[in-house]
Amino acid sequence: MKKKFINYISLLLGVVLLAPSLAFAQAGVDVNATVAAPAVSVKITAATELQRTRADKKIDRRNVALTAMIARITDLKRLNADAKASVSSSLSAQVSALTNLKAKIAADTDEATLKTDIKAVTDSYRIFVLVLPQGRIIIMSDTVVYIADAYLQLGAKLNARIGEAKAAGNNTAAVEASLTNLATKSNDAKTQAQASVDIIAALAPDGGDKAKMAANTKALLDARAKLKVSMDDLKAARAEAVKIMVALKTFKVSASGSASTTVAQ
Amino acid sequence: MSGGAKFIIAVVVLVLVLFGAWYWLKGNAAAPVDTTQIQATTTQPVAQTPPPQQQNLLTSNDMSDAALASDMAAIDGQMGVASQDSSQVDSSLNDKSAQ
Repeated sequence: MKKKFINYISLLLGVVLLAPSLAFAQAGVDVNATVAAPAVSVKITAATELQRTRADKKIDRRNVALTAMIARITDLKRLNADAKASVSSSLSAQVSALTNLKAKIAADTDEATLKTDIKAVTDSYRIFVLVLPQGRIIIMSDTVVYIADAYLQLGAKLNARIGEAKAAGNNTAAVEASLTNLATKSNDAKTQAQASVDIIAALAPDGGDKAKMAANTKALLDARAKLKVSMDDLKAARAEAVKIMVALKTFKVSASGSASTTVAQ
Repeated sequence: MSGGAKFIIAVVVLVLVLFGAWYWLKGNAAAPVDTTQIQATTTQPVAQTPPPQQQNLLTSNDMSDAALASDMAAIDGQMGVASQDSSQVDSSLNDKSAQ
């Protein structure tokens, strides 16, 4: 009897001493379930498991692209600080949301829920269809405005040089017309670039709505068309600047070594 | 009941009390964390340094022919960047394979 009692107590003691490690292991499962793939559930087919793996890679690819775009947005020249912060924050939110979705997909144990979550990778976020094109348009628009401003600065310098040539008795009518064209094209490039951003700024993922997806696609293409016009404007502005610079050399007027010019923006 | 059995029971009671105290403290110190919280913690965007103010491509007021040519070269360099940006816009709008 005594021996049985001692054996019972020993067993109880063993369970009690093992309990903390068992509890700790259980706690580990709770936390790690968010980052590690769970054991294959009997409820999920092998085909869906394959889709889970593909969805994981899709999310990784999207997050890499978004992270690269955030870095590029930070480096933009013309977008003001608030706008940069807003765009970057929006992109970062997408990265966070996708990362959460990745964890959820890894932890899903129900076939239907897993399929819904896998579908959400494309339908709910539209990273490649909408978000990245939006970002590309914003980036290009910024570059266009940066260049257009540079042409306007250059125009201010050329205007000063034309003034000197005119004062020296040269006929400057043609170069003055070119200068006007340069300014017109540069300003139009800025207008078109801004308009392209205005078109796409408020677009949101379609969530599977085909009509909304078509509208988003049309808006992106419209914005793209405006950027093409802006690029043509910049090329035209360049051609006018070259004409003026060539003409100035024929005027035989010595250029100022360093003049103080107020640059028009 | 022998003295040995009493001793074992006392040890068991002591261990149970200690375990209970440990488990209670652990529960308070590390409350269950849901998935969302974990992910939100691990994916917070890194704080960025304040971006620079607007920059101008042309910074010199020099109006000599050489300076104007230099300005034009700088602008041409940026036109190359714009062309790359344009290509990337095109590819991002045409990329159906990455869906």
